[in-house]
This record gives sequence, C-alpha cells and structure tokens, in this order.
Amino acid sequence: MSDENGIALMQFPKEVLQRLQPDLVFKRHLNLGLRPRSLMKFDEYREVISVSNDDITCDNQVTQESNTIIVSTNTSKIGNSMVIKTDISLGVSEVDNNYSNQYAQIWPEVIVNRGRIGAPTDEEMIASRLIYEDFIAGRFVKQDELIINEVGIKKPEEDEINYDTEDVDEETINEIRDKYTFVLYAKINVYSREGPVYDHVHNSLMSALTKLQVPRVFIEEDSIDLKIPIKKSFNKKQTEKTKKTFNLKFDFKNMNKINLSNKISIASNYGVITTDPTILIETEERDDESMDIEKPELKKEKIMISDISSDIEEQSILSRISVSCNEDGYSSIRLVNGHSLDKVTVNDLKKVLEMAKLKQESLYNNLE
Amino acid sequence: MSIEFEEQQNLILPGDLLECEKNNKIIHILGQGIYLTYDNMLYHNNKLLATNAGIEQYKTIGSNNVCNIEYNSKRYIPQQGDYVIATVTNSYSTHFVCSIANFSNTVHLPYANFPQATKKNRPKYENGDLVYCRVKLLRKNLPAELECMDSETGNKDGFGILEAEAGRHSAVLNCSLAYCRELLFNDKEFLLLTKLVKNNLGFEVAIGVNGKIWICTKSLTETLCVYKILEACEKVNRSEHDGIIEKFVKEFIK
Amino acid sequence: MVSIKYSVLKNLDGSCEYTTANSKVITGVSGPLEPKQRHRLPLQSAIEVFIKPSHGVGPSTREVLMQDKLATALQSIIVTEKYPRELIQVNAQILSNPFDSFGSLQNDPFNEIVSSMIDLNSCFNSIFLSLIDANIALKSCYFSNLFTINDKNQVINITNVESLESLQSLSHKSIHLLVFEIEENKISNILLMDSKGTFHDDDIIKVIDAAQANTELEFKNIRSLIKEKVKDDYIWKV
Repeated sequence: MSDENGIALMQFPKEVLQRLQPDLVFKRHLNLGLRPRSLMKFDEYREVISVSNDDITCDNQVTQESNTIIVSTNTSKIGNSMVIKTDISLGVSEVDNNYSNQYAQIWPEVIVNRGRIGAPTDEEMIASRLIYEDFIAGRFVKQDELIINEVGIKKPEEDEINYDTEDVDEETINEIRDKYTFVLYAKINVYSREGPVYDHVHNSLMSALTKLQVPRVFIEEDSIDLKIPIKKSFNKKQTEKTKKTFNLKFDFKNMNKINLSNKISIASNYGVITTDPTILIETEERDDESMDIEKPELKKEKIMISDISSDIEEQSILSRISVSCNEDGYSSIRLVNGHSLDKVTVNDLKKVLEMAKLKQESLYNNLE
Repeated sequence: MSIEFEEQQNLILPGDLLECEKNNKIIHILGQGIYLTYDNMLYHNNKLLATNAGIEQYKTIGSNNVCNIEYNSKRYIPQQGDYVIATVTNSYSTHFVCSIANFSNTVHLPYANFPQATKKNRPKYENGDLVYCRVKLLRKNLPAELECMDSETGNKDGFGILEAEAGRHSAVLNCSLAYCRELLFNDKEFLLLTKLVKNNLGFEVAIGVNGKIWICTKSLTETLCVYKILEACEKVNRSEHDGIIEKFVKEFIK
Repeated sequence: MVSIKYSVLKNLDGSCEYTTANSKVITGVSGPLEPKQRHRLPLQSAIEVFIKPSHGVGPSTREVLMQDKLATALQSIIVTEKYPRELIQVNAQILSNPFDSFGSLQNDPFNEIVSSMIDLNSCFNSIFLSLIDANIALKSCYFSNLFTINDKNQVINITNVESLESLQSLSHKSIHLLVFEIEENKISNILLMDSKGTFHDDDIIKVIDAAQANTELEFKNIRSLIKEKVKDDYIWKV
C-alpha cells in the first residue's frame, strides 16, 4: 500500500514501534485486554519488596571530606527491575528559634541513574520537590525530636559516657544543649527506572523513616578547654583572641528512636485512558457479504490503570492521579488531566480514592 | 459587516456552543476559530468546537453557509490566498526563505513563482528586502509557499519588491491583523485611507494581512504623518479618526 | 479585589497582569513559534513554560514543579493538533508573593507549600487570559481556585486573604488548588487538583463545592472582561 505521496508502507519491529508510536501500541494492547510488557491486570500493582534497616554507615570515619552519617536505609525492589535505595543521613545545624515548635523538614535529593552525568533532570527536580512538600504536609517528625538536648561527657580514662549531666556544672554543655539540632537529608537513588518514579520514591522514603534514629551526643572532657586563637589583623597590634571550640561526638551505640507524629503515608498512582476502537485489529476475516452490514456504532471504553509501570504506559497515559494516604486520611492528592480526551472525572477520582486506601492497607504492613 | 457586528454580538469563548449550532443551522464551510476534532467526528455527531474568543459570524456566500469566529490577533498564521508583506531572510539555489511573522516558521518563495521566470532569470533580492506577495500553497508537512505573480494569468499584478524610489521615503507599520484586513478589504465602508487622500496626503501603500502596512511618500515628514495617523487610528473609535488626521496633518505638514 | 490587565506587553502576542489581594504576576504567551529542532513534535505543538520567581534567579526546584504542572494542564487545554511542529511559549514572572519578606516563611514549614500554591494559582488564571489575548486555539476555558481548610474546619479562599499576618495566622490543615474546565459556560470537569496536608473524603467534597461556586462567580467577571477586550480589539469598527 502506498499513499498519495508515494511513501511505501513500512514495517517496524515491536520494539521500534513502541518508541515511535507508544500510544498506538498501548491502545492495541488495551483492545486485547492486556497491558504491554507485563501480564498485569489493569488494576494490578507491581510487587514491592522492601527492606529497611537501621544499620549505621558512617562515612566520616573513612574519609574526612564527606561527613555523611547514614542512619536509616531502605531498599525497595519494584516489579522485576526497578530498585530504589533511600539513605537518610544526618547533619547538624544551629537551632532557629522560630522553628523549634514546628515540624521538621527533610532535604531530599532524588537521582535517577540512567548512565548520564550533568545537571539534574526535570524529573529528578520534580520528584525531589514533591517529596520535600510531602514531608512538610505529612508532619511526620517534630523538630523537638531532633534538637540536641542532652550532652554526655566522656572522661579520657573511662570508656563510659556520662549522660547524667544535669548536675555537672559545665559551661560548654550548656552552650551546646538546645542550641543545635539534627538536620535530615535523604539521598534517593533510582536504578533501572521503569515508569514514573515519584510514588515509589515516596514509599521508599516513608519506609526508611520508620527506622529513623539519631545518635546521642557527647563531648570529650579533654577537648572542653580547647581554645583556638584567632588573629584579627596582621597590620595592627596583634589582638589575639581565642575562640572556644568543642568536638561534638556521636555515640552510635546509644541511638534514640525517633517517634513519628503521624503514621507514614503510602502513595500510589493511577491513570485513565480510553480505548480506540478504530484501530481494532480484526482477527476474523470478513466475508465479502458482511461488508454490506452497517458498521456497529463505535464505542469508547474508559480504562483505569493502576501503577503506571512502563515507558509505553508513561508516554500514553497523560491524565493521572497520584494519591498518598494513611489510615487517618489523605496527605496529598495530585490530579492532572494532561490529555484532552481521556479525562479523569470526579467519579474516577472517587474510585481512585477507594483504591488508594486499599493499596495503602496492603502495602503498609509490607513496608513497616 | 459593521452593521452585523452591531446586531448580533454573540461573544464566543473557547469551548462554547455556537449559536448557529444551537439553532440547528446547516454549516457548509467552517471558518477561522471553529474546529472539528477527529474524536467529535467519530463519537459526538460532528460536534463543533469554538477555539477562540471572538464574535460569531454566520453568513451565506453563494450556496454555502459559512460560519467563523471573528477575532483579532497579532501573530499571523499563513492561509492560502492571503496577501502578505514578507521579509527575505535567506536565499538558496531554488528559492528565497522569507519571514512573515517574527520568530514563526519561515516560508519559501521559489524563483519559479515570479513572472517570466526562467532558469537563468532569477530575481536579485537581498536579505532584508520586503516583498509583496501572496500565499500560494499550504502544505501539511512543509513550509508554506509564496508567489509573486497571479499564477493564473502570469501577470505581475502589483506583486514584487517594496522599494522606495530615489527621493521617496518609505516605512513599515506593524499593527493588528483585523485592522489590516479591514483596511485592505473593507475600503468601501472603512474610509480611513480615502480620508487621508482627501487631506492632500499623497502616498503609496501596500497592506499585508500579516499585520504589516508599507507606506511610501515623497517626503520624510509625510511618511511620518501617515505612519502616526494609521498607528493612532487603530486604538480609537471611528468617530475620532477625523480629529486625529487633522491633528497630525497640522503637526507635520503645516 | 482581583485586578486584571490584558495586553500589557505590546511586543508579545498575548500578555496579562493578574493581581490578587496577596500576589501579582505578569505572564506572556507567544506562539506559534519556530521551535528548536529537538522540541519539534511531528503531530502537535510543543509547549514551553518558564516561571521566574519574585526573588532570586529561577527556576529552582520550586518553579520546575510549577512549570511541570502548568505544562501538563495546558497540554489538554490548547488545541495542540492545530500547530504541528510549532512551539507555544508561556512565560510567567512572579512580581510579588506574600512571603517575599525575609524570614516570613519560617513560622511554619507549611508556608513553603502555601507560597508556591499562591504563585501557581495566579499563574494559571493569568496564563489563561494571556492565551486568550494571543488567540491561541483552546479547547475550553479554565479557572483556578485556591482554598485552605484551617484547624476549625473552615474553608477559606486564599486569594482574598490580604495581609501576611493573617496568612501566617491561618493554621492550615490542608490546602487545595482546584482548576476547573469550563465548557459552554458551565463547569465540565476538574482539570487539575493539587491537595496537600491532612484531609478526609468530606473535606474534598466541601472544597470542590466551594471551588465550584467560586468559579461560577468569578468566571462571570472573566467573561465580561473578555467581552470588553473583544470590543476594544474592534474599536475602530463601530
């Protein structure tokens, strides 16, 4: 067959057509009642195998440059290939009084590994920002929990650390107490990405949160009186001043478990797409007589897909909902109708909210 | 046209139901601003979609009913048969590349579309030259094609380079598309240009519906005067046009 | 309360300045333009959205997320099939945000979300009028609402909250951005919904109802504004 421009009919192998016309391939699958690349049902989710632990990996003992103390990790395997690894690490910062009675923030960095280097992609930035906003909206960790309010002292000759410092009249300890706070960072690596990452990244972080713990803090007694001279100026009379310093040390044998103020929320995503009966592949050969029979009226069918999970689905489903909820209610809903024909209606939204709750129940135990 | 505008001011916004669809009138030809999607053709009984904000117009031309939405805009999208002022931006062995709207897709002006074109006879236009021409052909996947002649008769018909002769002064005014259309096609009712001539202003003018008006007079002050009048008249009511002409003529000529 | 000026930028195809009680944006739309080769799509137009924040150089992650939301929503509003291989460029400059003054975000981290939602809400409405001004073919109209539910379970329209102090004193339980599609002068569907915080099913219903009522009310003004604009466009005619 050739059309009027004289372009001959071209045939593409399945893999090539998938990239050229993902929506065509997808809608053909839908007409057969299948999802491409996996034998999942329309309302099926990929299996999530999630392992969280509270092992501490402390990079600062290895290298001086990176001061990363990873206090909680989670590794999730989603489906057959996608792996997400979340590391929550700690930093220390001075307390801002305004923040002290509020909920803490987290500073996430999502990295989707796809064999490239350079500035973060839009997808990574969007996922990071969404997680940042979700963490605020979820109100999971109270700032109070992270503030360093007890400081131990270790005497040089003893192995024990004395945390009972209430009666120790030591200026330095009072200087530290309630003045410093832990800051949470999350580094989330996504390997062999398949489909939109945000919801799974969210779940992985939530799972890691359940294991979150912070070390107790102490100082060594012989470092208390350490003073470092600061030269103010070279030209004028050298006015030497000293600044008191102290080395905060972390006691990884004594960890404080952080109690979450709210239950972790579980995110899941859904998409809406309509079938296209005009591209129905006719399986039975028609007799010549049947040509006379009037064409049956074309009918579109709306299909709800849960857990958008492959490139084809990601590119052809543009109307999506992403819901994150816990037992007590929702913490975030994101509904975007990106396709003018396949639209998520209010009724679809209702259906999705029900499905999201069921999904939350089933995945919650798995993650915790 | 202006009377119609007064009588039925059907403001249409994107997504609205057309008045003539409401009254079940038959439409043969869809004009600007109305769109029939493939999806509506298949599933929604040819439901029409208004895509622009403007005034609905329903007319009978010959035996066809035409419906369109009249709207004003600044950016020109090529339509077959339109008269445009194009700027030459590049030239190749077979055609000039022209721009008819800033930063929009370029259009082509092949050497063959000039009167008395032969293989050796090629017009010597330089980059930046203004050419008055007509949109000959719109193709789905290729740039639009311009022509510099009436392709039925082969006559020059006033097309060609817009150039001020020695001692004359020319200028190009950018204005809105509907204003240009009105000046070009509705000269019987919209008498602005006639009024200018009545005020002893002699000038050459070429109006392209891509929002460009080229004017050429024998002195710089007159060019400026015509330019300012045309520019000012776009923003005001028709009843004030006489006053504006008087004001600028006084300012520049006398 | 809301003041709208259209065609504020002369050299752009369409522009709009949108001022609410607490925020101000200026947006511009150009198109259809000639895109870079890599943005060229064979069957539809590419849509590019740029948002510049009220302070600092953007776009940071905050703006990238807003751009993404806008671009996906516009994808279904603009008749993209009408401009194949071309580009529609949308620019937004936030002129003022209630949380502009230094340190005003720090009362409550939740204000981070409120602040970007306020920007996004104004951008949505302003860009709609810019698109109308540029006469880009649209499939329908839309209107964006921003509501918050406070700890007393009251639904509050944020666009009407004037001072920073009253914004900060709202103890948000949840915040909802709802963009409705309007066809044939009636609300036909939700185009975008973005909810954050702690909320339940009945809160969603409450907010959707409030937003629908607000959209119907506000869109009357938008409609009469567009009527005025069309009249202005043909001022030399009558």
